[in-house]
Amino acid sequence: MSAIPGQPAAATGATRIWRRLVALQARFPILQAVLLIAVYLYAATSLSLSSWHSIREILTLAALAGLAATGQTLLILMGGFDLSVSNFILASALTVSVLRDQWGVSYEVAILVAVVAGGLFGALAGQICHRFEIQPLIVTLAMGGIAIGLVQVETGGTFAGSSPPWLIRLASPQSDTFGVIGIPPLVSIWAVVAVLMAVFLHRTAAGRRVMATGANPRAAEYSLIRTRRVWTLAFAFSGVVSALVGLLVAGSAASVDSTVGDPYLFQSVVAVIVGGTVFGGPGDYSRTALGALFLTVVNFVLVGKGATPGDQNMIYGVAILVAVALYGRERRLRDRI
Amino acid sequence: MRESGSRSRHVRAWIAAVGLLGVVAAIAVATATSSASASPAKAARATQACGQDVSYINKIKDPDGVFKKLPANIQARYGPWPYSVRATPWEAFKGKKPPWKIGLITFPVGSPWLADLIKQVGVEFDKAKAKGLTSGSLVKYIQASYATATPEQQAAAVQQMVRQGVDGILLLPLAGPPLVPAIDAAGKAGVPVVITDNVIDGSKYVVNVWSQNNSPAAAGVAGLVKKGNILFVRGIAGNPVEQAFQDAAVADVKACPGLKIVGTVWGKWTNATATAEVAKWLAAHPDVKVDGVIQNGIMMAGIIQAFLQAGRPVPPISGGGCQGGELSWWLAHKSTYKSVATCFNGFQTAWSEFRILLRILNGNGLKVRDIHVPVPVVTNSNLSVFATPGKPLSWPGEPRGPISGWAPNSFLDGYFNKPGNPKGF
Repeated sequence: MSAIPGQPAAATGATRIWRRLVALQARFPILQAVLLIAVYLYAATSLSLSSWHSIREILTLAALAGLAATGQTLLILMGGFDLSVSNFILASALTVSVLRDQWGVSYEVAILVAVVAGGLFGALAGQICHRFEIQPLIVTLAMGGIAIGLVQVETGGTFAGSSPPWLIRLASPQSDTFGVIGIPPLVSIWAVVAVLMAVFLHRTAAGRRVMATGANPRAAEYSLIRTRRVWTLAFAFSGVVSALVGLLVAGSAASVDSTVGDPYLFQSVVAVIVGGTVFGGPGDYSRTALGALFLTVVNFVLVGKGATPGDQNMIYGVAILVAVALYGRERRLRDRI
Repeated sequence: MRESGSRSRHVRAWIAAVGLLGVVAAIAVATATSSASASPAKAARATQACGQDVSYINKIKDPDGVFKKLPANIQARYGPWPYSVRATPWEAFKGKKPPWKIGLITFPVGSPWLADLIKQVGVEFDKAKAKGLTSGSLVKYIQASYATATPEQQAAAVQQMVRQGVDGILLLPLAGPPLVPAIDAAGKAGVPVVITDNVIDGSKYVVNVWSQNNSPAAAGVAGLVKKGNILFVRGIAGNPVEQAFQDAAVADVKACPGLKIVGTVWGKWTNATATAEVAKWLAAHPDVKVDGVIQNGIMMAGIIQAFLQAGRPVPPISGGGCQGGELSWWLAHKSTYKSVATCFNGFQTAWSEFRILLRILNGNGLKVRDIHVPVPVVTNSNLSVFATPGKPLSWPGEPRGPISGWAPNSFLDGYFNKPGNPKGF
């Protein structure tokens, strides 16, 4: 194609580079990675956060937020939302703690009970949302309330428990994976989950069904995708993950109280949004992981600089707005076809 | 041309919006940092010695003249009390004939202290029922989760209990001011509301029973460390009781010229958050030695956990609102670790609060609206009285102590015109 007469060649080159960058950003979270590196460099230089000990702390806390956002990522890709994350985390942590401390049940059985319960509650939420076409916001809020209420009835209102030493070691930033690999076990778990999620979403038929359901539910139905089954299984998965994260949170805190789950609802949603996953797609878990890391590093900077909770809330709000302004306005998948 | 014009308007709108946000944020931050904290009273002691707790006793607001009528030994209990002391309509209250219906309203159970308090209120209720002092069942409203709890729910619960015919209410407020209308309405209907863990200064009918259980520990740790760096771990921002703890703690630290405050984190009064926030601060300041930590309540175990995780020596941590796990850890390390704590448990609180309510219902004549209960101070020398040996740091148990160890009958007698509990309860 010949150049338009009179148009400077440099402008055409710059436009071409810009378009290539935009196309790359649509495929890979480049902007998110650049922002993360920039914030971390600031943290490393102004706050001594460059030591291996500090990095382990950052990665461990980011792993908790990232794992809590795993189910949320899937649901947001599908056009859904999960407001029950914090309550499921708390219910799971308490169930295991109370079953063990008050009823003498073994940890293995208690964990199984918590995980199965999380899956069942999640599946029920997905069924109700899809069958009756009710907003997931409402259904998941209700499910979370029911889960907490049930636990409160069983425990007589006791919202305090202890964590076993092995769980505390598993969630500690100072532990090593299998005792030999110099990476905290929680970070290793997160890395494995990230790889599995990437394979699931991009390399399996089930993952493509999730993306298709989110992109255009009607078109997905016409393509013979059983969207109700996709919703049920996705919500069940989110419930199971929240239950497992509840155990890790209890280990990290070395104790259980009624607030252990509270930070993770906000963190799970913001990690997904700041990472650049849009309701109904596109997006993937790698973006969420970057979002979780970014949020955690920002948090370390704010705490290290002595920011008050009010300052922190304002800065999070601005960060979300900036993220949405920069890359939250991409057209949804259904609008591109 | 039209498209590029609308795009440039679009960009300008975004720039304007972001700029406006930035200006608002800057103003808010500047205002917040320059405004004085809403401290209810400034420290009155001109020369507070290092290690001595702050005292507001000469500056207590006494608009009704009731404080100065109290005997000197009762007045002396109000040293770190930062609020006013007011008259109460319950002094003239003639009482009601037992048996009484009792209500209990609490915020979400987030600590062993509250779990034990609720349990013990049930025990006291049953014991009182056996003596013909209470009837029916204990009417309870316990909020389920902080995520959904609001003060308005508690206000509605007060109103509902009054409608149900409850004679007296024990209340742990989620927040004080929103409950004033409901408490005063209950009071006018002859239903006393006794609160703890908070102070509501704006209500005529409330009965405040409170312990400044942080500043004695803060003063103790300040006196122990004397020279070095202090890290503050605060509770929930904006909570007036938290601010009262903080003002007293800062006064205690400033009384020691060798101490320097090197940082403040917000633990939100939970061990889990305290662990995470302190861990973040330690990671961001690896070269800053922390010689002491002042925390504003029930976060000592979480802070110990953060230091252990960071591989740094655990400094003296003020044990305001101490719990069983940290006391047990301290006992196990007593030979090398020193600190100061203030301890009372939920069983003791319930025992005393229940008796205060029964005395009011019996018409014993409460002298003042506001009761301050000084808390036992725990040091290495008397630690074994309070600590349970052999328990993990995460143990959600409570400090030991006799059931009447917080506010015994002899202590309560000083606040009532007629001493003693109804029917010798």
